[in-house]
Amino acid sequence: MADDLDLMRGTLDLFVLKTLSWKPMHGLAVLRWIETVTRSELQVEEGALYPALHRMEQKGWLSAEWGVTENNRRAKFYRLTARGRKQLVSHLSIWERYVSAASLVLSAESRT
Amino acid sequence: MRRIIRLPGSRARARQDLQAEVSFHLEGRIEELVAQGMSRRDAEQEALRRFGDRARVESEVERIDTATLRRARWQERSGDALLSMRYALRGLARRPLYAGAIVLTLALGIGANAAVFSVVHAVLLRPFAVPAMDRLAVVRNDFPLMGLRNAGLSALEALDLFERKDLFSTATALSGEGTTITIGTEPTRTVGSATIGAFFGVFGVRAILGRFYQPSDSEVGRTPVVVLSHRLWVQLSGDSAIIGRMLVINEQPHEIIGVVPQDFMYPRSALYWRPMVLDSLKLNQEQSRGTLTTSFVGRMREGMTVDRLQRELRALAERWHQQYSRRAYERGGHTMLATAFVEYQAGQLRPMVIALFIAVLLVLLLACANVAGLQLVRAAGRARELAVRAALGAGRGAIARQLFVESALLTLAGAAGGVALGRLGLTWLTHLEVAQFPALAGLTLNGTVLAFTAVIATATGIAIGIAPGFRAARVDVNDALRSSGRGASAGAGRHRLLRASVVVQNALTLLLLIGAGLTLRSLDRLLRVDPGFEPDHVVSFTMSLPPKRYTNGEQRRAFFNALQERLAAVPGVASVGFALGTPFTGSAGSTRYNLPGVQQRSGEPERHANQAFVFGDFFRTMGIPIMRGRGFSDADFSSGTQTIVVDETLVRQSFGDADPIGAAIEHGPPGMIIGVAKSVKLNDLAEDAHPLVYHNYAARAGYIGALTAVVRSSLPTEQVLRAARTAVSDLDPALPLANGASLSERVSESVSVRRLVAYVLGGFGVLSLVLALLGIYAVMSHVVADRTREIGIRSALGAQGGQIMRMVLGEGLLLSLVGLVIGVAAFAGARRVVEGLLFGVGSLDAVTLASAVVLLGAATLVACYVPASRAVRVDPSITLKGE
Repeated sequence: MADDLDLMRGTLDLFVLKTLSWKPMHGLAVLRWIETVTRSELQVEEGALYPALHRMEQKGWLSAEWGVTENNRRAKFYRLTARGRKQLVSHLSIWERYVSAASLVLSAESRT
Repeated sequence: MRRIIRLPGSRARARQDLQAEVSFHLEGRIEELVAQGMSRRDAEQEALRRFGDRARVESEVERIDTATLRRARWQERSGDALLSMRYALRGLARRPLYAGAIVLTLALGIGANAAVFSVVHAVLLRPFAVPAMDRLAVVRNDFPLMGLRNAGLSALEALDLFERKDLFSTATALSGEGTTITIGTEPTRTVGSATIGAFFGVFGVRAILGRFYQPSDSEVGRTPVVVLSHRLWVQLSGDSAIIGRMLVINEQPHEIIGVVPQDFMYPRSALYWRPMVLDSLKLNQEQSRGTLTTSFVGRMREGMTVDRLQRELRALAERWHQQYSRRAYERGGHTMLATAFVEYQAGQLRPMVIALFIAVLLVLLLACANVAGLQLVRAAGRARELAVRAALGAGRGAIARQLFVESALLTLAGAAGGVALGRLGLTWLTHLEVAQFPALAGLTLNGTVLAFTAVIATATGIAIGIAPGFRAARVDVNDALRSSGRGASAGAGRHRLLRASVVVQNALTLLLLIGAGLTLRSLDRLLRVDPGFEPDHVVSFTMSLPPKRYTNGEQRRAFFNALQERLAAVPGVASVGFALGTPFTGSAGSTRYNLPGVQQRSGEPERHANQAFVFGDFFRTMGIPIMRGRGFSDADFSSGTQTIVVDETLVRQSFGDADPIGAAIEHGPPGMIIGVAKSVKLNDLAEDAHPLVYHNYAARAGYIGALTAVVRSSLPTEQVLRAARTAVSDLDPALPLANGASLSERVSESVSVRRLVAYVLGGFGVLSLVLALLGIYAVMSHVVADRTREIGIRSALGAQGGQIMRMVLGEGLLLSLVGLVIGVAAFAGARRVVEGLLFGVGSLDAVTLASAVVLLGAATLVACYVPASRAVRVDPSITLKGE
């Protein structure tokens, strides 16, 4: 396995929002999705996921419903709300600005 | 994916959900791992390890969930509340007139109360702020056998009391003075206060600028000092540069050393305070002990009470009787009285204050009774609607809640209206009377009063609002739905509360009407009192000749002579006179008199008389007839002989039928009686007669430099005053006129407090009549509507319109009658309250009582007329067919 990259809370929110933008999922599915897409490069601390999900539900970014999986098990599904979608867009733009700013710092030639 | 909606409604469920969620996650992970080849047990461990500290995660999520739950619940509740309010508004809108009447009644009741309370508070109760006011005591001299009550202390007596550290921790005595101050170059007459002792210390005042004076400021050789009132300070400069500047008082420069705060106003009219100048020579004269010119106020020492103080003072008075010669204390029954300062200030206004408070309470009760009646009517009309709601499943709580919200909305609207009306009322009142009562300027509604009355009225309104709800919920739904009427209760006990409310309203209204009637009649009687002179067309003003420039009697007499000539020459002026001690313009004091040739008669009160000093055509100008002998002549004035004119009261008391002309009299220095004038009222139309002795001013011109001029003319007051100012400044440009006013204004001013009270009570009377009218109308309308079926039956059985009308009117009048009887009985029992207010009218005055009863009866008839005529028009065929 690759080195675990620590994820900060804000970025966790962003990833969850993005993941859920495809379709409603339960918590485990979100984790698996991220693992699959990053080819296991990113390991989300599982314990941090559920507080994040509940918090975003409280803020109204997500709505939650109990549903049934293909295996006929009861699970809590989260879906992105309209407000959540807006949050996603603004979070993304912040992220992009951060990344480009960070790369400027990191690729700068040292001046002497 | 199928969805099962299940919202967590409680913490327990939320926890369950969370556990299920986490378990699902873990199970999913475990299955994955097992599918990858791990053993079940290892998979479990690995899943848990990857998950992290399950307990911690769960507790964190629980915290989040609890917060979410709380927020959701709050949103739900406020949504409910908004919904309730919308329903409530709709409910109110269905019977807008009743709702409007309730709001109006509450607004009137609360507003009137608040306004009057605030005025009473400002004018009569707490005119200024002083710390621990209940420790202050006023000491007065009392000579009951001479009819000299409420007299001040002399400076000597005050000084003696200052030494009594066992009675007062600090004390002061003050004396009002009318002086001329110079602002810029303008000389103006003002009123100030000369004080001895620790004046500012007694009242606990702190200077907002500068300092207050100390004993060292009064030492010989030092510049005299003065402390300004806030009003004067603002007038002069309003800035801190005022300290050190000079204020010229009676042509003598005083250094301004301090300014008092805006809310300190004792005495109310004083514009400045300065140390009293005590001429030590004069002080030592025995006579000075009897010159009662100061008001004494002391702060009682710790542990001292007014009663104990009173005892000590009585003992002290006895010792003084031994110590000092007879002149000061002989006979007269002298004693000293101690009163609490606060009580003394309220003084003779106390009965008025009490009466106003009671009136205010009555109005409030009336408003509450009115609202109660209206609420009952509204509720009765909705019994059906409420029954339907109950049938549809609304819980008792829900119905009660809706009623509560409705009532709350109404009463809050009423309270808001009350504030607005209160402000209006206050503005109106202050405009009316601010001239008389400077404390009214800029007065705002008293917060505590407003809150108090609002709370009471609101509580009543709400309580009455909910009660019908409970009643309705208990009603058999079928019954209510089936009945053709709207009543929820049946039988004779119907409308009992409604009837009670009408009776109560009638009783209260009657009380207020009687109170109004009595005070208005008293005012009327008072204004009709013959003052003994003719105040119309007379203008008065005061001048004070500065002793520096008018050093002796001749100069003063010359001035007044010249002034009289000039004024008399003005076209339109009929006559001019001067006096110190002119009625209704300040007093010249009083002292005892002796009649050497005349024995004391049996039953004659102590020989003590007011004094006045007259110059010029005074009696004719004032319209005071000379009943016997003659008035003062030019010869008297030029020769300065001690000629004396006495008044009828003195003659009646001391001479009886004997002829007083030519008798010798000693009122101060000895003189001879040359005439008898008709008795006059000196300060107050309601005062008792007290002897008055008129002296020839010319004989005393050496001692007296201030006189009031009176001018009788056909000209308007302003014109007279302008002419006077011209005449005076022609003679002496630096001499100001003060207190220019028409005499009739002065007389009317003296009744200003009574007038205020009478108008307020009169206003309350009208208000109560209006409220009662509204209330009776509403109730009777409802009663009639309720009995439509019964009336229809009677009509079908042959009852004539007149009979029906009489039936309805009769019922209304009967209720009124009961109310009236109760009201009269209550009044008879409590009439002592009003007695202090009355003048010339007995508390059981037949005319007033009868008019009040008739007025209320007529109002009841009017209020019942419309419902009665509606009853007559009921078509029996329609009602009999049922609904």
